[in-house]
Amino acid sequence: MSISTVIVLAVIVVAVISAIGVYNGLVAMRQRVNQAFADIDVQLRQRHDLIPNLVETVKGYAAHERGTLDEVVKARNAAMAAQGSAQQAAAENQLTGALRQLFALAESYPDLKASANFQQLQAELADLENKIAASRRFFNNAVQEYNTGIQRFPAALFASSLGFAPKSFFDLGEERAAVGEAPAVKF
Amino acid sequence: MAAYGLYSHIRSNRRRSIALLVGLFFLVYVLVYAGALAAAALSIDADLDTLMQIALADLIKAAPFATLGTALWIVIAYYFHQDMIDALTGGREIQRTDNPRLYNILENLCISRGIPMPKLKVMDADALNAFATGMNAKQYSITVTTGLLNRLNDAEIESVLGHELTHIRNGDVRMMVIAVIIAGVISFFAELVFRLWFYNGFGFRGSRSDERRGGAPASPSWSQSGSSSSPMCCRSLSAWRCRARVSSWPTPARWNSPKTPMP
Repeated sequence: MSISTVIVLAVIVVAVISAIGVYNGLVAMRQRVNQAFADIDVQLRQRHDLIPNLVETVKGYAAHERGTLDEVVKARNAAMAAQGSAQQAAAENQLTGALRQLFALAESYPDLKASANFQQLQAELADLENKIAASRRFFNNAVQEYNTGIQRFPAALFASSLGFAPKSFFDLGEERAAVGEAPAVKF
Repeated sequence: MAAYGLYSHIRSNRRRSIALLVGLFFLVYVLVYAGALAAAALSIDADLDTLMQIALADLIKAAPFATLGTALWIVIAYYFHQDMIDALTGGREIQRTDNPRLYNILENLCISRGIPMPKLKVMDADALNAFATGMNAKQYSITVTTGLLNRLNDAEIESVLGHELTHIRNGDVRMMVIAVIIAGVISFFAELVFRLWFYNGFGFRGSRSDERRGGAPASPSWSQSGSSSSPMCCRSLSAWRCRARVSSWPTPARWNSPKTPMP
């Protein structure tokens, strides 16, 4: 075994080991993206669970606001039934809009506003909105790390051939315009 | 290459923590040597070379005890420093039901970064203060004063908690605790030498007429300058490092109101 053979073998071994390391890193990052996406769902489901309670509480004080209440219930059912991430995102945004209208409405019912049950539900839903935003932020972070990982030098050579496609950030898309509108509150 | 962002800081802090721990052992050996040199100079009349040889022999004899002592010091600090801090500050841990507003703020920050939530503690004090402590994930905790909770609104508290959380995530907290352990060890030795010096009447025996036996006056200055300048260096170094780290990050602003100006 001449010295050059040893060197060549050593180089090959090092290359293989580092390739394995890079591949495992990519797999870990992809799984983190998947997990982050599933975690957003956890918060969304929790929000769905709170809504029936909220609707019942509001009905107790503002029974003739059927229009808004029905919209909330409809939006919630649509969000629970949505399939695929684009449909889900759209349905969840609808639900957020309906809830915002409901809370704006509750401003004109002082009894409802003073009810401890309603205040607690309002606080919990507000906190859930923050949690949804936080988990989306983490999802974006995971996507950024993954996208960077598959485009960096050694990985870029073999990432696409091994099935690592870039993923997209959480984007509100066309619904952004609708979400950006303030709810129409009529006095 | 200097650290330039969060992840490179995390790596650099991890390296530095290890380097500091290793350095602590060497530091103890140096200090033991300095102490042995001073003791030799006090009791023996000889030239500097002989004194240094004697001190080296003493160091080798004392090395196992010094190593054991340092290891014990580190272990005690590692397991009990959180309790020591809590006893000193009076911090008590709170759960979600005690202060849901505060708890949720911290929880949401942790969700957004995907890190486990540290313990949240509240301390009774009027001063606006918050700090992070802990050496590993099981110990991490953030303590906030009641003064701060009463004076700041939600967005401001969120910034403060985000700042402390980043200290934890950065590995700063662990490194700072190790640095404080080192400062403690140095202060301990410095006091020891100072008392030795003091009880000898601010001077040392040693004939000045004979050149060959002039080692004694020289050796205390070696050991004294080493052990007394170190605590000050150490403390100012730790403070500078913390400040430099702190001023280089933007504080996280609320993500759903990007127009809020950063405090």
